[in-house]
Amino acid sequence: MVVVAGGGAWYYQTNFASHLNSITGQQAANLSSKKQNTGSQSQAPAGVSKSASIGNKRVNILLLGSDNDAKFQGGAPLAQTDIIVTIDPTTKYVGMLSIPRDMRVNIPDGIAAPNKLDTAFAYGWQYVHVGPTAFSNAVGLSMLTIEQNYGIHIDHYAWVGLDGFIKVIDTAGGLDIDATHPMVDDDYPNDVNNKNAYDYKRLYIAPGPQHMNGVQALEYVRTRHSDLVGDFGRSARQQQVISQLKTKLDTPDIINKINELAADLDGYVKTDMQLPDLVNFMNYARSLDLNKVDRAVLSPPYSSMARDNSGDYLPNCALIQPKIAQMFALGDNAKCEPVNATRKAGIINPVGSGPDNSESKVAQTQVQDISMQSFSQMAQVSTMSLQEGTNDPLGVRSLLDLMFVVVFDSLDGSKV
Amino acid sequence: MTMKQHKRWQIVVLLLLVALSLQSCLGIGGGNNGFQTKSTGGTQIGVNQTDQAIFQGKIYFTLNRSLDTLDGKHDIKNLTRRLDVRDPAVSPDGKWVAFIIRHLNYSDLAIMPSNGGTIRILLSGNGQFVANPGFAPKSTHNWYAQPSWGQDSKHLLFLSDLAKSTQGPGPGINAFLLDLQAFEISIENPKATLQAIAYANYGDGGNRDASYRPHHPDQVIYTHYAYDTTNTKQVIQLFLEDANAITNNPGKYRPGATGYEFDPAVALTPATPDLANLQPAFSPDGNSIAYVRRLDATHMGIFVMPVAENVTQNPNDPAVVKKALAPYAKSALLLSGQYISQPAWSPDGTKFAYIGYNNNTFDLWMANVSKDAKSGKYTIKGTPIQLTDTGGKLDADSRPFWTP
Repeated sequence: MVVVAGGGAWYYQTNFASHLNSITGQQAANLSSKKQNTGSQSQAPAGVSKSASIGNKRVNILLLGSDNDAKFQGGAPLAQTDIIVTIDPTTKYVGMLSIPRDMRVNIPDGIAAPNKLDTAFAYGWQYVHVGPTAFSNAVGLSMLTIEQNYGIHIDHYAWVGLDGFIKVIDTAGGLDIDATHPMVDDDYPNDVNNKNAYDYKRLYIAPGPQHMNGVQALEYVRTRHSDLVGDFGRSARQQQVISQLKTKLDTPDIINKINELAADLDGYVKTDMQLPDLVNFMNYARSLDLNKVDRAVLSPPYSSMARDNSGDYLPNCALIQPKIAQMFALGDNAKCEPVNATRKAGIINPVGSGPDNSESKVAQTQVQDISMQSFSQMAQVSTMSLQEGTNDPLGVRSLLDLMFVVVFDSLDGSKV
Repeated sequence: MTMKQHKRWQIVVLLLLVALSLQSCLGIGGGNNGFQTKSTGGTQIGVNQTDQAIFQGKIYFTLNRSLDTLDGKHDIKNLTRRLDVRDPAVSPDGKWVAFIIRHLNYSDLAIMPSNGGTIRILLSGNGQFVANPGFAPKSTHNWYAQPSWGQDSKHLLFLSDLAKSTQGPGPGINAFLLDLQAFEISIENPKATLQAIAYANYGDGGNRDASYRPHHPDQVIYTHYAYDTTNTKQVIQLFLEDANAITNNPGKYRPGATGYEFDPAVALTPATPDLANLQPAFSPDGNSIAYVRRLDATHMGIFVMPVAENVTQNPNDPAVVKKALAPYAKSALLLSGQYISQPAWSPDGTKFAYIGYNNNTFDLWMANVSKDAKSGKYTIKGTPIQLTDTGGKLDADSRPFWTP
């Protein structure tokens, strides 16, 4: 028994620990206090709960998705997907609020002039130096932006780079899909593996059975202009891809690729949740009746296009505020900050003067602290998997499902 | 036999067994299950060498987006390289192969001698994105798709979004028509005005699979994609129409949203929400079509049904509509599977090729069929035969073509 357990621990440490440790427990910079954050995984910044266990208290989780993450080599990624999942365990209420990337928001503390929501992530990356890494600052500013503009406190976050979805699909060998009808899109965002985050490409996907690689599968689920009914058709296509993914990931030989899948996620999924808490969250998501999830998207009539040729959308606070109050049980604490109807150029005001934001320095510091922590997490997750029959002893499946939830902009992704 | 000689024999036998095992692994000799590895354009695929896989003529198809042919003697030949090629179609006189060359953001309609050679671009969809302040940019690029020959070998049907620059928002829809419609071009005068053949419904991708009915040079069949009146379910039907109806009745017909679109076509299959009948292929005698139907979320089938005569001249006459739809009830299911698509008849009408799915891979398959002389009903003869083992290289979204 000791030999088997020791062998298992060695195998886990060798093949998974480094990947999973760079994915989970990644704390966001706490910009509300602006105290220098150490970023240590053993300490949660003030005001941020360490545990995401679905206990008795409401929890709000921010899901962020970037289309041109550039693997943190430079450049400032945008966060094109901003979804807040709110769970009230006592009433079993689950809500998902999507805020469009083009919603104009006030960037906190005058760091920059009001701009699209997706720029908050980029501004935090480039101009905030409170947390230990550019990424932690980017997430921190996104969280603070939502809190200050809408009054929604964010307890946890998960971030996904869309390149990771492509890699996972390709590792799984691609997908074989019966495309429901011809897809024509003249303005598909060509922002994956592209230095220009606002580039476009045209799509024409033939109907019928075909093989799709990761890029093609992403195009199939993301295209918004290929259906008269817009997001309704997109949802149906996502269901198809989810079903095919489930088939692929349930095959016996995927076991041989689990290490590769974990490597695919490394750098493309990050969350401040610890692995057992993430597994808890995904198990909870899988148990939901998705027909009862309260979904709202702050597109028109919750917003309207600005007339200053910026492409921004202006919030319709008369509708947004009561909706937020209802979804997040905020009552009078719900907010909706008005924004200028005309976007103005503004001065950038960087915040903080922290140490070098090098990812590698932080990683080095963390390695020694986390080896025993990661082993105990693995044991905990394995136990949970056995007890709940979820077949996810290493937590990799839950990480994959988290990625799919963000990519599909829907808790349907947890059903893969 | 001495001990030494006995041991030597044992070693020889052992080596022989190893050699036989390696022979199988390295694909030397006859190959596995009758398939032999063949090279085409730098790609290796398995080709069925058995007698059951013999056929007359040649099948054109694409592997990793290169155009290839497989003949009935199991020889394979590559015709294009370093191009993204789709949907080959050979002219009735056998001289030309038409196909699509796909690029980022657009495609070209091209022809080439049927055995390979110089490619001639008939239409290029190259264009650019044009700024559209406050909105996503417009594009001047065009798609072309699925060429299909007229019986004179001089005209090509094809699909395109050419009308998007001229077909603006209309009743019931606030968008430009991006969906592909059917047109015709003369290969002798490709710069002449293109003839509009079939209009499309807004928002569901447009038409597909257009082809002339053999021995009926004025009749075109195609798959029509649309949403139902609730705009939530697909209505995918096979339409047959007079190819000259739009040209001969200017201003009468129009594309549009469901309820506004007005076609000169008659439906050969019902307009039932969530019912999908697609990819029709006329038998060589022009009397029947093989087509694909989605049976449920995980199964599709190839059916064959007869097609009525004289149903394209008065498409809005209720009696004609009923007559066109009647043969659908005689549809016979010949094959089914998870994914089964793109039927292509043999020139003599005794077989059809199709793209099947086995072991998570798309490949070319062939089925023998027989037709009852009295009833005209088609049935499958024997077991379908897998012609290729491409290891995932066959492009299942590209329509194959069978020539004499």
